[in-house]
Amino acid sequence: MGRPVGRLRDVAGAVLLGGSSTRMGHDKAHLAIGGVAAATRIACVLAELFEDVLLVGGDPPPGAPGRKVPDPPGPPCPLRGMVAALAAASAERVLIVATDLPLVTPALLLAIVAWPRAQAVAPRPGGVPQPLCALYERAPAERAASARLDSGRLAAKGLLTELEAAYLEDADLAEVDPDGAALVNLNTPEDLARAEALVARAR
Amino acid sequence: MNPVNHLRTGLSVAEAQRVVLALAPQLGSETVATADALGRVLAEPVVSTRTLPPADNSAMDGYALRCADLAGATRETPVALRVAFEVPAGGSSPERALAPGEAARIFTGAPIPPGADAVVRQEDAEREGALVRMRGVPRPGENVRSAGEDVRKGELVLDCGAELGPAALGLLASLGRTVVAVRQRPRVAVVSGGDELVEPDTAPFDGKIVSSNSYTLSAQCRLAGAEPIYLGIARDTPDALEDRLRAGNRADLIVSSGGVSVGDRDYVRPVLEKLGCTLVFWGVQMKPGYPIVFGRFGDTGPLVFGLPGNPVSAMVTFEQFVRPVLRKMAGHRALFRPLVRATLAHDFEKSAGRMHFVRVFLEPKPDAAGEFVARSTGTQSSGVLRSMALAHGLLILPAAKTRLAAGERGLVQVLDEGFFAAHEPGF
Repeated sequence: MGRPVGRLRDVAGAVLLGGSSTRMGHDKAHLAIGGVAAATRIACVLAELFEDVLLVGGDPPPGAPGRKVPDPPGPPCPLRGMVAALAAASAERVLIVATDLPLVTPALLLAIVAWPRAQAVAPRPGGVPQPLCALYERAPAERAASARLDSGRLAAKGLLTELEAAYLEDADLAEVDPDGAALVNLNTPEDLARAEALVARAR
Repeated sequence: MNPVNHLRTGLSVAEAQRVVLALAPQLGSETVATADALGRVLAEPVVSTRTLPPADNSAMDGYALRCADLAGATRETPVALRVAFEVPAGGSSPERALAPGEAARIFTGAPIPPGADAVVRQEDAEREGALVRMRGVPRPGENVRSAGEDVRKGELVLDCGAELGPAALGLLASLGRTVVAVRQRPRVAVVSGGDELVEPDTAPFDGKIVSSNSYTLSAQCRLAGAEPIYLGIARDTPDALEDRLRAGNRADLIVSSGGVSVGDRDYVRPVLEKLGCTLVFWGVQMKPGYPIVFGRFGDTGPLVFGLPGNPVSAMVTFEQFVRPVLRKMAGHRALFRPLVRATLAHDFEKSAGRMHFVRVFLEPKPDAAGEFVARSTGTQSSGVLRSMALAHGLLILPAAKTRLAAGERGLVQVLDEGFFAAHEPGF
């Protein structure tokens, strides 16, 4: 029997489970792609890479690896989940992934983690930053996210502008995600169908 | 002992080089014929069992004599000596000593007779029957090769770690060493990964790509003094990957390139885990070549490099990490490619954060002997092998820099020493 392959200790992984989705009509965390719930897929990828995995807010699907972290009180929103994840993590850096990105790969997440250090590191496919698949330095990010939450500025995208952020642009992403499939977002039933097709192809 | 038990990521090139070299073992030794040992690294100290040359001998065809006998000889007042005997080359030592007033006819390589202390070239002597006339006084020792001038018995001639070049092979031969202990050459299992790949002898229909990495990586292994073993293309299935990795487990090092390396398929980690592989790091802050993975099988099994699939990324990461490891395993002391400082022919720009390796030509700098100009070989996309094939070296753009301007000087890692080669003797 082999020894475990290495996992990162100085970075924690967090899945933001969030709440119900109006456009999808279901809780996205429980949407099955290739027979596996979206949140479980993400948590399994995170558990391959990180020793500490957080399942933040919502209602984790059974079998999703990680420890449950409740959302702070208030209406659920990604920024609230981010504050909870940053506060609960013990590692200095936290890789946060929203549950509507079920096709993230170890290669993409490692690329984000291995990027030159900054307060935030996020992919920017097509020039659009992805704050919900991004790595945050715990202390500055928690300060900035809490301040935004307190003042009612809830857009997660704005958080990146308040931090010293570094981005993986299209050329960088092509090295680790040549098909451009890892950041497929589940917002609509059509997205779900595309994700199913990608998973079927990869099998 | 396993120095790491958790995965590291985002290492600088220097950190990653330290990590891989710390885990690289030096291989054992083997005995090979000296004639086949060119480029190998000596694994034993070679102590001379002979004195070379074994006796004082003549460096010239001429006359052995006693300098004192020629006291006062000049161009105008020559001194004549009696030619008493002849010492042929390859013959045994002369039986008798040279008496005062005598000379001995001697040939190159022949032992100096007792009593003689110099040799005068035949061109500088005038032979007349049994006499030879000299028009000058040689220095004692002139044209005499002293016993042990090259090597003395008991002397350390070549030490462990010496790289055996043509002269060293000749030296070993002159000591009678027809076999010699050298470091083993690392055996490297080369695997390509991906369902999209076909072998070069197969036409690439249906969007398939010809796998060139087996050629480049195997050639790089040979240049580094290692022996590549090509294991073929691993298809994207757990069984195919396990099969290839098990085959590679008998090698000293496994180099894979492409998708199997990075862990972008769900089964890769379980397969690695099943085979007892520990991943040590993933991702080095460099371009090209960022998604490189490094690990090892158990405490004593082969090291594993998962190089990116893009041809140039695979080659550049091989140069920075695999080559120094192979050279350490083979016992070399100098592990890294040479660097030259070159003046930049144009601006080079990049984003801060990662070290960039730019494919460049090196050209002699006009009117500045020994200095060079670096110029890009063309598009720097990590898929473009042509600009790599043209490159004499890789210009190093440090991680923190965003720009090196034309006229500034930068470091170039030399890959092809051919640019030093000259079209004319030049002297």
